[in-house]
Amino acid sequence: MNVNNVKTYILLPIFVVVLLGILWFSYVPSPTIMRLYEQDYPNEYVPMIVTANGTFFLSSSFERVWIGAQEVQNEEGIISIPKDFSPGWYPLIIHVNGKNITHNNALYVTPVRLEDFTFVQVTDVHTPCYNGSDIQERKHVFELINNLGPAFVVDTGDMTDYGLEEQYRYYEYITSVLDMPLYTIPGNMETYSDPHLERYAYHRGPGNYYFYFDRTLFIAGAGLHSPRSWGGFDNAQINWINATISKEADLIFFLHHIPIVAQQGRDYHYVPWGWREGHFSQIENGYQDIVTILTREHAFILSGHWHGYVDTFQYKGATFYNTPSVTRMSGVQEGPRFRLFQIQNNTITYDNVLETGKLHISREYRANNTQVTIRIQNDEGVFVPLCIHASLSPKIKSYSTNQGEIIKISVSGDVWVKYMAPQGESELIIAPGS
Amino acid sequence: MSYTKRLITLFHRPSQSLQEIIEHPCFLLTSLVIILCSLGYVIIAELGLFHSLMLHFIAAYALMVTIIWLLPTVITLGLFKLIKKKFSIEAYMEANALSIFSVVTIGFIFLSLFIIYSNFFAEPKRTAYFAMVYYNQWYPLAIIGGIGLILLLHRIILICRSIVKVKLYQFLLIWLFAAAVSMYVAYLFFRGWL
Repeated sequence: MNVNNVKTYILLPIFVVVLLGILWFSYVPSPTIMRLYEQDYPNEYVPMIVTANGTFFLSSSFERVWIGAQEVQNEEGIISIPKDFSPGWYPLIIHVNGKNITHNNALYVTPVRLEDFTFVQVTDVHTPCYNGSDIQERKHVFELINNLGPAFVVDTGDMTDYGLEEQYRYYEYITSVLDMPLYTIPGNMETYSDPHLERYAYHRGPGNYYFYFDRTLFIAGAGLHSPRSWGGFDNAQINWINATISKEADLIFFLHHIPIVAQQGRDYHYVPWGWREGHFSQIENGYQDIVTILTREHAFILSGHWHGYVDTFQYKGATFYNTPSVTRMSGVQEGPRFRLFQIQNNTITYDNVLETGKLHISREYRANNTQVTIRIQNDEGVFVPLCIHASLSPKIKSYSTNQGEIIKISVSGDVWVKYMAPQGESELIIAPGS
Repeated sequence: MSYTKRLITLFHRPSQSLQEIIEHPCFLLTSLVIILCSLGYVIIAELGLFHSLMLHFIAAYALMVTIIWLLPTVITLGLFKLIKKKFSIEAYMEANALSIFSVVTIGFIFLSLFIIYSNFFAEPKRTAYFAMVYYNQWYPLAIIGGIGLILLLHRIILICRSIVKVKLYQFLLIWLFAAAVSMYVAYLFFRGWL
């Protein structure tokens, strides 16, 4: 080949090499996702959920502690919540090293019983960057979730459609309807315009943390390779997860966006390196380590990412849930969807996927707010465990219900009723009574 | 015929343009045009599809566009040479590059129109990716894609008849093989990396 021939074809190889170089240098295999340690809890991003008259743990190094305006005793790291605390959000003020530090919304007093609660997993909300009916549709999903009365909500990532600033703002607007805590982890979409997850950390806090609900441990571990739809864990993260998951608990949930173990591979099916030992995984770095840890602890793993799938896959004692998306998906009729879990005495008794359009809850207040009729239209094909909240008149000291069980009445007149909504139409009446 | 005219003629009289390529191949200039167009298309598409511009994705999508035209061109070139066909490599490369890219350009024009409609005039407004992937608005682009494939096939047949002078069954077998391999490589890159 002479020099002229080389000149003729030289541009293309240079172009391809430059592109490959850019791909290599702009790849962030382990984005900087904060990990929280003992002294960092609780905070506004990872609030502590407690019950009135219950206790929670705090670093014993904190000299004085206030919940709202009320000072509470820190007895070697154990804080007792006064019995008369109403359900709701409270700031936590701690005095350490001679100064007061305030964590707003760091404590949530739940009306729910610790031994019998529900929680919701939402995933792939894909909040768009334009306001309009797409935003309202997503807001409606969270309004319905709020009506179900879960103890808390977890969002397993892709909450925005590209990790843009306006999308985070709309996401905060959409989720502002929730009364209960919302725990989030980033998905691959959050890395697309923010590969180091700085914007995510600003809006949503850490990507690696844990929280307890009674004896159930929830660990959020964001294993991502930015900006790609494949995930993975570096050694530091694996060590953190290994140490955290070894904490004492009766039930362990691991929150992660990208499927770690699944029965199928969606449109990734024909990527040969996704198949491992008869199952599909979209995890590259640290795959063996994370699977060893999760199966050793018989954990329940909640993920999303694939939008249309409703899989539950058992593998070596661990259970991998793949939950469908809140966002609609071209070619998929169902949606928006989410998964509702019920935990009773540390056992999962309910783990169904629900579709927003098939469940309607409406309230009709009467008699000067001393009575409410709650109508439920349940077309989900299964019963739905609810914790219905009604804001009634505080002048009445005692209420009763025609169905379900009243689990809490606050001094402000808020009433919570635990109720299994059967299929079809049902009606719940809360009225003054003994 | 000037180089600019060669490019324009390719859209409505491809055989005339091919004749010019056979007589005066200029792959170096064509490479430059294609590189600049690839980058331009990718940048505009990324902005319209996602409202964001990331270096990683510019490189990734530009590489995808390059794989789509370069790989089948190189594979078919190798296979035609293997069956001892005599033709100008430079003319073949340039003819393929421009033929495929003229169709890509038609597709890009429609994508741009869809981007403008989706972002500015649709109710509700959506980024183009959001509209296509989540809200079933991919049909118009799929139709354009189908028309594009027919146009592409026509251009490739012209190249095979006028430059390589190959029998129809040989052309079909070789191009089917090259297209299948190239599509799988593009798929592996798109789903296996991105």
